[in-house]
Amino acid sequence: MRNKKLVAIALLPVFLVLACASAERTAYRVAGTTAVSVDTAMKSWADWVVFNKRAGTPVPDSQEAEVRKGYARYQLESGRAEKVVQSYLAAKKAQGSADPIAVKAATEAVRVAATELVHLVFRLKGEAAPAKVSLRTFDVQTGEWAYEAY
Amino acid sequence: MKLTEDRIVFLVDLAFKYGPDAAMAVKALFAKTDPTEEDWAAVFAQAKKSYDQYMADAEAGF
Repeated sequence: MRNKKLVAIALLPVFLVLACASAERTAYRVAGTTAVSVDTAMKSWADWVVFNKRAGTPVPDSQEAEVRKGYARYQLESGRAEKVVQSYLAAKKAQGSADPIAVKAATEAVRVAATELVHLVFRLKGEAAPAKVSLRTFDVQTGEWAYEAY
Repeated sequence: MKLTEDRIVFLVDLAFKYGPDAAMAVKALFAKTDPTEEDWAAVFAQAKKSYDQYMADAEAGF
């Protein structure tokens, strides 16, 4: 009985490291898919603005200002998340493992800002928002894909 | 990366909506099992592109 307890205690750090690695990987995938979505949405928005300018029907300044503001908010959250990730990686390097809970929260904040921006871009362009892509990204965050064996 | 049915649907969704480059970028992300500092830095680097740079690139592309 005592031996089983000792084995359980001895294995606890191993389980914690594995759990942290999984959470870190999930956060990385959320941050990465978010960055790809935003980059593609911004390229699509820029093409739309330039196309309409050339066609003599420029996009209203108010709409450009809205997207600019949404993108700035996304950049702000991304900058915050980067600092959190850097602290996490430094702690992991120094201690061998670190709690990724703050990384998860920071990447979630980036994802929220990004989703708002992507939906804004698609709404202003008069296109249907990419519901499937957003939903899939959201699924990663809520766990449907997160803890699958890769 | 194992390509399960869900993941293939996801990649097709991405390719359909955003083009093959986005789908391939996501595929590469999912292939990383243990992201390094450089991997994280590459993700955050994308967000550093300015709004005006996007516009300039679009202008240059027309």
